[in-house]
Amino acid sequence: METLHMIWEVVVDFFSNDTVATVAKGLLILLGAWWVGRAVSKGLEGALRKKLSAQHLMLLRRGVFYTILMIGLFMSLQHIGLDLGVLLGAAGILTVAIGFASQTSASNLISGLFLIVEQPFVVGDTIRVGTTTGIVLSVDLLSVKLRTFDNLFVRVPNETLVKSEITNLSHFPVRRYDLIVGVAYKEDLKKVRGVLLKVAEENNLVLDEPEPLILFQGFMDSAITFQFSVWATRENFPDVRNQVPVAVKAAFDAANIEIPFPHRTLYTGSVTEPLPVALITQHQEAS
Amino acid sequence: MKREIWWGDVELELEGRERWVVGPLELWLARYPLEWRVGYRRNEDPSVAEVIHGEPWPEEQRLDEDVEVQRFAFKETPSTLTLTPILADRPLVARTETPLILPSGEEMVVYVSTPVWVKLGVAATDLLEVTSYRPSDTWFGPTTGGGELCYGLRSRARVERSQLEEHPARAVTALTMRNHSSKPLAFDRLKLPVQHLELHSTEDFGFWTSSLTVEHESSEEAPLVKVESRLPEGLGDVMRVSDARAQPERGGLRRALGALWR
Repeated sequence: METLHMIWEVVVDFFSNDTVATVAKGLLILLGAWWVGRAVSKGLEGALRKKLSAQHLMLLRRGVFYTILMIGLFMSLQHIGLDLGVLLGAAGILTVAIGFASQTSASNLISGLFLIVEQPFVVGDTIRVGTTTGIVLSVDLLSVKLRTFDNLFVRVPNETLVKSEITNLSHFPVRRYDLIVGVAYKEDLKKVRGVLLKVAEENNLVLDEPEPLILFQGFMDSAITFQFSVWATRENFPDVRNQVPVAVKAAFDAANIEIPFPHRTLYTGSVTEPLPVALITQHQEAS
Repeated sequence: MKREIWWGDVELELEGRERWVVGPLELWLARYPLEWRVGYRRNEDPSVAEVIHGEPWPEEQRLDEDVEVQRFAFKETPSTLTLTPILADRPLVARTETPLILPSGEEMVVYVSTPVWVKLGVAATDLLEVTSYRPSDTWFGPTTGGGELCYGLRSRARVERSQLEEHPARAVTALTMRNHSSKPLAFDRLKLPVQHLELHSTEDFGFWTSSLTVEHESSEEAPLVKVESRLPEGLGDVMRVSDARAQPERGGLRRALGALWR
């Protein structure tokens, strides 16, 4: 009991000390600012949820929160009695030093601002950068975060995005699917065209317009190849991509159109005479 | 052909099961204490015109695998299911088999037939919409960068009413086209804003929608498309079956890339 009383006396004495009280008040101001910042930023986000895109909402929430937190920090430091002038001066020199040391980060930061202004994509779009394809999760200060289709997390620096080519797969509402198909040389090409167009017509997800395209590609080594292009909405694209080749194969089988395996022709010399071939059967070997 | 009314309320007791056929669409309805079950299947041949009202469907008879089934749960299933014919949920682009040319100063009426959707509902709630014929998707717009997703159909675009064929699951739209410009108006596709049209049942000629008027002033402007609730004459007694899904903007007058967009 005595010990408890002693401990309590020590604690009260500690907090009665002026310096400690001031610092404690300063911390309380900071805590208050943190709490107010959270409340205001969340409130604003909720109020403007329907008017702004996901990306802008996130930026607004973070911007408001950190601004209020900074104000709280300055107020708290002022209350504690620190001379802000000196602090700001020191911060200035430190910034320059850090700036030189972190040129890449600065470049990423500025690139990020350019991306926000230019908006080649928004949060939720699917983009392809180099060999990485994924859904944009967030556009942050220094980088953009992607989630690939096989659920991997990719961080792409903003500088890379501004410097290189980005393909936005979600920008336009319709997409074209190109299927390269080869048919045997013996086939009637008009019949092949007819069969391919019928496949497109029978699939409801393939758009009537823009019309399906059949482009002759070339007289290749083993087959005559065509590019069969069909259009579909962005949402139906995966289904069309899976259904059309299956349907083409089925239609070709039904119409007896051959998709040939690679062919090699053997010549014996400059004049094409048949190669001599001897057939040895088991019967002959036995005798 | 006398009007055959296949739509309306379907009363089923508990454990009651019925099969309905509307043209190429087959419907199986079953009522249980806590759920309504709806099965549907479309015939690949859209010209099938059979109508069967509430044929009892025995319990032992299982549905084929290609029948799509949907289940609707209720605290206590209402005894009445309503079948309502309605028009498509997207605009329909009718492509004419041969291009039609309307000379300058001329007027004509084109008749286009579109499939009818069937809406199933209980009390005031809509449960499901099924089409009697699923048209192909198509894109309507000046470029692939923007535009609208529509349904696409091939149409004979008849100009003589006597050539129209009746069908229990199709609705006819009469388009009056007027060419006020100095050049002939050629078109091979018509975008019908069916979501703004009402559906009527006529005594003598099956389903008919509100009429459309297309006024073509000049080739620089898109034609003016107007929806009119007045139907052509000679259809007998007319009964409105369903309202338009959406009202057109600015009270009926809409500018649409109706006739030409190429």
